[in-house]
Amino acid sequence: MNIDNSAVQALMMAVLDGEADAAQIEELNRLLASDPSLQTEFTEMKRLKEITMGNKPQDPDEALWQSYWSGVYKRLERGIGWLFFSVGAIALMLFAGWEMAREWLTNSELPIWVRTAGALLGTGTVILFVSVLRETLFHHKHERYKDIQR
Amino acid sequence: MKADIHVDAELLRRCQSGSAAAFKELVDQLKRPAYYHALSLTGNADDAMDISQEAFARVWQNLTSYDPALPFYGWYYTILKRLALNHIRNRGRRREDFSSEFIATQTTDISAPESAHQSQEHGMLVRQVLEQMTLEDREILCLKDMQEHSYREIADILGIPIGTVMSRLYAARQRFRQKMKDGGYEHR
Repeated sequence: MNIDNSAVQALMMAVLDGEADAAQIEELNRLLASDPSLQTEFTEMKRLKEITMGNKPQDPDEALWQSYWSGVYKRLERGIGWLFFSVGAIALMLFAGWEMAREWLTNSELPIWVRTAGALLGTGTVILFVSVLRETLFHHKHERYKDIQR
Repeated sequence: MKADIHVDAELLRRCQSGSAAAFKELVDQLKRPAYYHALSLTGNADDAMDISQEAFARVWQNLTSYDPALPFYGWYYTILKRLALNHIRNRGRRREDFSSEFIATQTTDISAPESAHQSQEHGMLVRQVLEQMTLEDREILCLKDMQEHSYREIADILGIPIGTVMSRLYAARQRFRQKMKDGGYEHR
């Protein structure tokens, strides 16, 4: 039987899961006694709950629990390493880019078209970098499961 | 299987002030429920271990943004679930890759005695049916019937009202019951 009454459904769940008080248990027993199909549904759900409770996940080896913290620590360590590496690399690349741009733009021995191409290359790189960065940040902000509705 | 997910406010305060020792204590306290919750989402023991550890690392990196007024484990679980969903999506296996590690065929907790063969069959069927269920149904069934959390705890973990926990459980159990019957389960 498929019951529509959400109150009865909630009552069944509360009794099944041991979260009902004496009055609720009595109320459900009264409903079950007057409705055989509801009784069948409840009995089946109770039996299936017992079967599910009897088939739990295997416990991992104790050694895995012992090394659990080291797995977390390794991730933290690598996260910090990547952060420092990225900040350093970006700073050096910015400096190198600035030096190169200054050299190219001020070197009057280079043909004008080479300097213009260099300026376009630099400008294009900056635009692409900003675009990718903005998309990444936007994607992160609107990531589907980032803030699961609580 | 029942694990305590309540975290002491003082421990959290020490974590937020940057104490690595306190954070280790926090991880030690929550690693088991974290692992089993990740396992119910991914169905794979190795993935569950990786994702639950990664979620703890993210927690440490973002502890300053945690609002102590909210249940801590619910906040952790949001991160864990996001990582698990990304992982599943990336591998395109939302309903795949459930290893046999997910379910053990044990009968110790079953109230009515059964033959080993029958309980093994039931164990296999439960695993198959859970594989077929949506992540949301599997999640709430595992939280209640495998990890044995109370309604209050499930409400805190999922960030939903207790009434919604009950209605989601009812709907999931109805689908579970139907799929078990479709799979050949006979109620006796």
